[in-house]
Amino acid sequence: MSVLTRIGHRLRTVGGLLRFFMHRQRFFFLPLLLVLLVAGLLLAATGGLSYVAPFVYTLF
Amino acid sequence: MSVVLGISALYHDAAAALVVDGEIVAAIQEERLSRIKNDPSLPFRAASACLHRAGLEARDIDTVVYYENPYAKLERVLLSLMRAFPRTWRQFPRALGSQLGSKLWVIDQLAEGLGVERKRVEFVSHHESHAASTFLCSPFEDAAVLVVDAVGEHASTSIYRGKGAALTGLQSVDYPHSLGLFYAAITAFLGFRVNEGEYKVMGLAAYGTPRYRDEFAKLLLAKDDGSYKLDLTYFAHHIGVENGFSRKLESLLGPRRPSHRPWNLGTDEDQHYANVAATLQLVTEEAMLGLARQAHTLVGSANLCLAGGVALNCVANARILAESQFDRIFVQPAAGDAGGALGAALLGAQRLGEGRPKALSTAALGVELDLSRALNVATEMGLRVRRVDSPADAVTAKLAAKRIVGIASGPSEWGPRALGQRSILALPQERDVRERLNRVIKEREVFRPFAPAVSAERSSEFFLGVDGDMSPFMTTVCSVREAHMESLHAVTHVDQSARVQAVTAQGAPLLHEILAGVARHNDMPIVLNTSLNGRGEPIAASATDVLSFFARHPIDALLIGDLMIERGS
Amino acid sequence: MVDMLEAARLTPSVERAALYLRHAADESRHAKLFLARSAEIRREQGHAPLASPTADTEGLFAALGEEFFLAFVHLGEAVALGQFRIYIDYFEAKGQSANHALLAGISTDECRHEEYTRSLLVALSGSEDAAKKAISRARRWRAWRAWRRIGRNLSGGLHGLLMVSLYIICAPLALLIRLVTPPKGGWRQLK
Repeated sequence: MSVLTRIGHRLRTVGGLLRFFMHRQRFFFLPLLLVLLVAGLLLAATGGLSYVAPFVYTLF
Repeated sequence: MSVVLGISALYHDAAAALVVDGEIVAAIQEERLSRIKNDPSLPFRAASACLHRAGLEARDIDTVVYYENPYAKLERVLLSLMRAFPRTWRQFPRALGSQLGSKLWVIDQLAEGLGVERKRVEFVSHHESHAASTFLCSPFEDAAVLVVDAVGEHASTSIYRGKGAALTGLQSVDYPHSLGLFYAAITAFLGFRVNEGEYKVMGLAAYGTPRYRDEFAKLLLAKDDGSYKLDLTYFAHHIGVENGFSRKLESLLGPRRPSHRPWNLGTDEDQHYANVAATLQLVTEEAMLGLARQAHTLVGSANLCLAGGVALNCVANARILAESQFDRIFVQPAAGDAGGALGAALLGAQRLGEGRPKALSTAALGVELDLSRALNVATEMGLRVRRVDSPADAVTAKLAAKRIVGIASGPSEWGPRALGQRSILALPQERDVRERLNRVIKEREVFRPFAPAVSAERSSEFFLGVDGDMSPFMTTVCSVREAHMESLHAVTHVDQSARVQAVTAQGAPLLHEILAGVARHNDMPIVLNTSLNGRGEPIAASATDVLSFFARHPIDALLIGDLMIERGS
Repeated sequence: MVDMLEAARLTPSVERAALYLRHAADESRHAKLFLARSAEIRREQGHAPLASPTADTEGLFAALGEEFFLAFVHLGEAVALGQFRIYIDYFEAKGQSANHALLAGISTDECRHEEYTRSLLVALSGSEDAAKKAISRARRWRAWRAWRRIGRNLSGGLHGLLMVSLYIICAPLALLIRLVTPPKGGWRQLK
């Protein structure tokens, strides 16, 4: 799947998230959403959390 | 033709289930294929194995249904982190990193990983998928449905009404008040691994006396309407700590038990822990009875369906059957999170206009054996292999000669118990068999009981409390009749109970035949049945797993399909 | 070990599957020996034994293809053997015969693993040169993984720091949430 398709998927999920919070209709979710946004940006900026195992194989 | 794939993943026990034209075709847990116990990662292997079994491909799938709402989950995680401010500062980066870095995007990852259009991937709510997994496969036209687990999105306990093909949610108890997390916290306190150790705690409970009622009354406050509340000062799951219990709990019940210290129930210390386990079990049973009472009041049906991790507590299930106003109870074998995949698939099929599937009659829904490969690899490994005309007779002969025999026949089981598809069998009358199995082959704690498999037709001769709905799937306990306690010593627990599998010809054909053969030998169609896996491993599934087990553990013989493999070359 | 089991399951050749299964059985036995020795040492010191670890896996066979997988495993075994030789000499010099015997015994198996993976690699890749190329590639990949690991740890640290700052800024939000949605127990109606 192309990068564009993947980005498209991600955007759809973000849209779903926004719709979910709006559906809840509680005003204090707006700051929560803001927190999410900033956290998401921080995550993207610091390179995410991809897992690279220390190769313990060398001992066995 | 409608093809629906259900998926559960990311937290514990990932699984995939395939429903074609409203009928269950395959259901497989990812751990069986990845060989990592309780594997939570996205079950792509299980999904392709399911499709392979049906002779289908990804492009034939109409809908993929994920078993919970990732947005609601994220909402709950955030709310929970904020509520316990500032103690959650350590978990905040980790939890949000995990949610935003991976778990929120599960729908996209499924679409991409399976090669399905994103608009075909949907989700349902966690408890609804649990409720569907039990009610829609049950033999009941109407039933009360009780889902009790650690937590879904927000709900940790819910009551549904099931009627025909419709499920209606009625009430729920929300996180952080959770019977599942309560049990898990004490499981961790006793030194076991959470989500794996609960079953062991249930077995340990029979060795203790419930003398900490007053202390436990402080932990869990049960109300008259069946609901309950936890005193959160004793717990830590809402703060996000792994253990789930606070120092205050340790000052109440004493210090926690260090994990992996060998158990010795002769010591006062371990006896104290057994008493804690016994109290936990009793309190949980009473809470479940209260919930069942409320479910009956709300729904009024004579039938009850149970799901969620706590439904794997078969001792509690037996009490509900005996003491509540319900006549029949059904518990789907994969009552934990893996079952959500099946429920999700069934709900997806309903949305496409399908009706309910036939009632579940066997748990053999998994991976099939590649017998020609098994023969070739076994020969290549230098094992003594021969083809047998009657597999059941060959096994019975070995059992009668006091041997421990592994059997692998047909598709692997759905759920955590081995039900005759990937089992280790032995005659229960042999005293040293239990010792040998527990110590050498399975390397389990000394207090873990073994379970008997008995032919369903003659089960009531030997056991009390065998029912027709739960016993075929080993989701309840029975008691051993006085007259047979001596000879069935190896499969009787210290409180005279036994986790019986009532075997039908439809449920496990080979095992049923073997039991008939054993009855011809000693008039008792009962064998000791334990799962075909070593310590810390998932149950064997493919032919390679089965052979690998034989190569690493000293069982006497192995039947795989119609091939008998013996020691010595 | 789990990677070897996956290799045995997925490889098209029955002979190689049998070899991988034997390898997995060896590794499983080594793990047991190490655990037993560890428990012994802990007991001598008066402690309870440590928790048994679970096997780690990355689905290497499926991800790398059989040839590169063999190169990677061969390299792993060779490096392990080198490390073991150092430990064996150390234990011999210190007179710790139990540890010495344990590692000496295990390294004979590792030696065999190193050899069979090499011969399989040569057979599969077609020539000595191709095998050498695959092993160099594996060496480069391991270095890249180490680099990624450092990067990940650094960014993980930075991420943690930034997130904690964000968390502290969220204090008023936390107060608001506690006021508006306290975690009361009891039933919530669903309809």
